[in-house]
Amino acid sequence: MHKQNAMLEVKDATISVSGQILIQDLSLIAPDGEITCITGPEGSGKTAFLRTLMGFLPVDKGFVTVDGELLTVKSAPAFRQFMCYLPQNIDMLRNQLYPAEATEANPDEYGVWNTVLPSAEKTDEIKPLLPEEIYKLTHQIIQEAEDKPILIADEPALHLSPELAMETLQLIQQQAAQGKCVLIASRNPQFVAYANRVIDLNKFKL
Amino acid sequence: MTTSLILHTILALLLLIIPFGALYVLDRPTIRPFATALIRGIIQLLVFSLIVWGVYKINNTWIIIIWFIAMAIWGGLFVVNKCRLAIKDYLLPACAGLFGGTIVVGLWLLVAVLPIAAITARWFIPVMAVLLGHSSAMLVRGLSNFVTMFQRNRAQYDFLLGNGASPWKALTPFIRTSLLAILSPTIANLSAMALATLPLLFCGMLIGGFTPINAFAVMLYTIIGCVASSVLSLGITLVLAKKMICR
Repeated sequence: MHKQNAMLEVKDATISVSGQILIQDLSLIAPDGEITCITGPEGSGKTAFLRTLMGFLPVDKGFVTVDGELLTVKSAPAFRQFMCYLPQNIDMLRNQLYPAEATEANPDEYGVWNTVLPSAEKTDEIKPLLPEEIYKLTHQIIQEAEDKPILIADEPALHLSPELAMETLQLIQQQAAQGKCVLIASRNPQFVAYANRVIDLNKFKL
Repeated sequence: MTTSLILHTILALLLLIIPFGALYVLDRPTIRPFATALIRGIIQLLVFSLIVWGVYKINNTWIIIIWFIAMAIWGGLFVVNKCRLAIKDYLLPACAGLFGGTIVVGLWLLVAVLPIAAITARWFIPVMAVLLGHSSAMLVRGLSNFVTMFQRNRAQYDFLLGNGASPWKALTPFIRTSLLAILSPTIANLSAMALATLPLLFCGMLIGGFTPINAFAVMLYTIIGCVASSVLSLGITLVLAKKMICR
């Protein structure tokens, strides 16, 4: 399976999470070479919508297609190979930027030959990435996915300073200029203003 | 138990006068917990010894298999409790991991490696007990590391899935740290072995009448077996627990 064109189409989609309908009868076309921005207040279903486009969540009604091919939860893994995904909680991807290291163990600490039984492994909490690190990681992820025709970014400006948000926006614009289908979920006014198409999820509520 | 063994045990217990005397002079409140722990340890060891003695006496294949299954279940319970995981979700994967990892490596040692004519209780029980004990201890580290790292880095799993990785590929970073968590103490132990400490097992074999060279050989086989069975046990457990962990 190889995709050069990757226009995303959503037709009359109803999406619910835990029995609660978040989006009803949403239709959109996200063409190649353009930025489509999904906006709406917190909890309006932006992330759920993006997760549906990636096949993590099923649609209750309607359908999603990629270049005319039906995307379902079952078929999604094949489609995701053509997607570059920047998650909302990108600040928690420390181990993506710096590979996790094993905790040091002292000699004779464990092992049946010295009869000491261990307790559960203690691991430190993940330290969120700094804005500069997030930008670096965003850049890295996009570069690694250079040949993927779809870019999906969930709140790409959330953890960034206004300057870095602008730089990220430029990075995303470059991707669209290369002919990629770019879909972002954002409440950031700059991202909304620079998008070619804006879908306000408030219009697709019950 | 013969009269002479009882006498020797009493003579050994006399040595306790030294720690109890020291505690009596320096820290009397600790005498009670120390005595409780000592009595509990002696009773546990005695019960275990009596069970093994019974299994040795009978030397029946089915009894040995039942003993091994019971030990694997006990090991699995120990692992799940130590990792503070839900018994209903993780007991089966942990037990199956310990059983599978230990039986494969243990049978390889017994059939192919150790110079023995037949697999009897005399060899089966100590070899499997050492492998099972080590694998359980390492599985506590490996499984808890995997579950904790996964819970704390769920975002990384979703990110990798979202970027086209298969579920197993997305789990690779967690499997890697989990593997390192069980291998790092082993590496540390092996580096210090015979330099900082003489392992208890090796000393036990010398006391039991092995020549130092034979003790070295059996010790070497056992260590290699322990490392292999702990890795295999972790692998089987993770394969079986994947659904629970990733839901």
